[in-house]
Amino acid sequence: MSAKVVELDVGVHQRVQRLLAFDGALTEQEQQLVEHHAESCGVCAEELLWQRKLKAVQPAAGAAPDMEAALARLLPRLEERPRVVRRGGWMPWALAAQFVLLLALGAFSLQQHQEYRLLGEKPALAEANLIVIFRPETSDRHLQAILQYHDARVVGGPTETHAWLVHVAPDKVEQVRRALRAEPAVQLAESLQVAR
Amino acid sequence: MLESWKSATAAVRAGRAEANEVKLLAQAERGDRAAFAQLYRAYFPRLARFLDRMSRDGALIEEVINDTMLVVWQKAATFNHTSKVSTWIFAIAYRKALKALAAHDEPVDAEPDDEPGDARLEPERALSRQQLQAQVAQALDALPLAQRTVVNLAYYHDMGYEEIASIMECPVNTVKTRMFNARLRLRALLGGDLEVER
Repeated sequence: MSAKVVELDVGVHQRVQRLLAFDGALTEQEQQLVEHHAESCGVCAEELLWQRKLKAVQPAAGAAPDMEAALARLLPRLEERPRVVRRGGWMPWALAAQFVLLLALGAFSLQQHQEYRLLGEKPALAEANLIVIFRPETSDRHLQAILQYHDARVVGGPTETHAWLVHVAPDKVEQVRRALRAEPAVQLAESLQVAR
Repeated sequence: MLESWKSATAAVRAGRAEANEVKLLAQAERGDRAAFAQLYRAYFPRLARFLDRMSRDGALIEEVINDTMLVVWQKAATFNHTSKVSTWIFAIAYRKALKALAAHDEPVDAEPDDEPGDARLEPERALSRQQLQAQVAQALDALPLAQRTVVNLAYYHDMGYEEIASIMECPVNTVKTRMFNARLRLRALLGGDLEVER
């Protein structure tokens, strides 16, 4: 019985040894495991403390290049950016793949009759005019209901930080943004439209 | 309680920063140079700090940053939101840096990944902060590039192992093993005492 307990502790100890270097960037569950184990393991507690001290020391670095001069050298090269999608080649296929991906993500979309767009049209990222982050506890159903109520259509997301890219009628962006912000379940709503 | 409040606040702050970066990227994709410049200025110091542990050549660092940000401008539409903007940009920078180092004949790896730790760099006396920073830099530079990159991203860019695996295009377990080995090596090089003299 006691051998089983020791074996379990060794397993946890080994797991924590491989996790504690990522202290602060772990999932909540992993962070709790590390901290809980460190309370009863002197080796891990000491290691954690040592690492936190090391992280607090910014290693000496060489002189950074001049940022504004570097940006000035880069700006003329931006002209090379392809603005028009040519027919043929791989680009339409890449856009098609991206479109299919975004379409799949749009399963939450409230407009079931969403119209298909032709290849070569602007990708969904450009079509999004609002970015919305819901509170973590918001259910999918609630999220859908809120977007449906405000006539907003999902065109991308969620990103790793749970941001959704949505499209609303261009003349209603500001109105919908304000309305979404007033929703208790909405943590953030920002316009993606360029200020004029 | 205070810790969970701090962590929730940090999460909201990170969410806002990420949302702002997604917004700038979308604007850059439409050809907005001012938005691109804003993104460039936000990333330049972070990338310079990251690349400084890979090369000491300032011109090479600038070249890698500009090549990276040129890709960001050109491929903004291909950003697919499955990762953070920062993970995407750092992954481009890492690939560009490896290519640039190879092209410039700079040593990418001085030693194999599993090299055991060697003698301590300095005896156990309290150091000034500047001395300690120099010593930490020296210890980091003694690590093989792959281990050094994992430590750099985890310790000084607050990235988790999944993000690092995504940037370095390797399995998560490889990241954890590199970090574990790096930690042992750093411990051997720096010793247990990281106190600064008062």
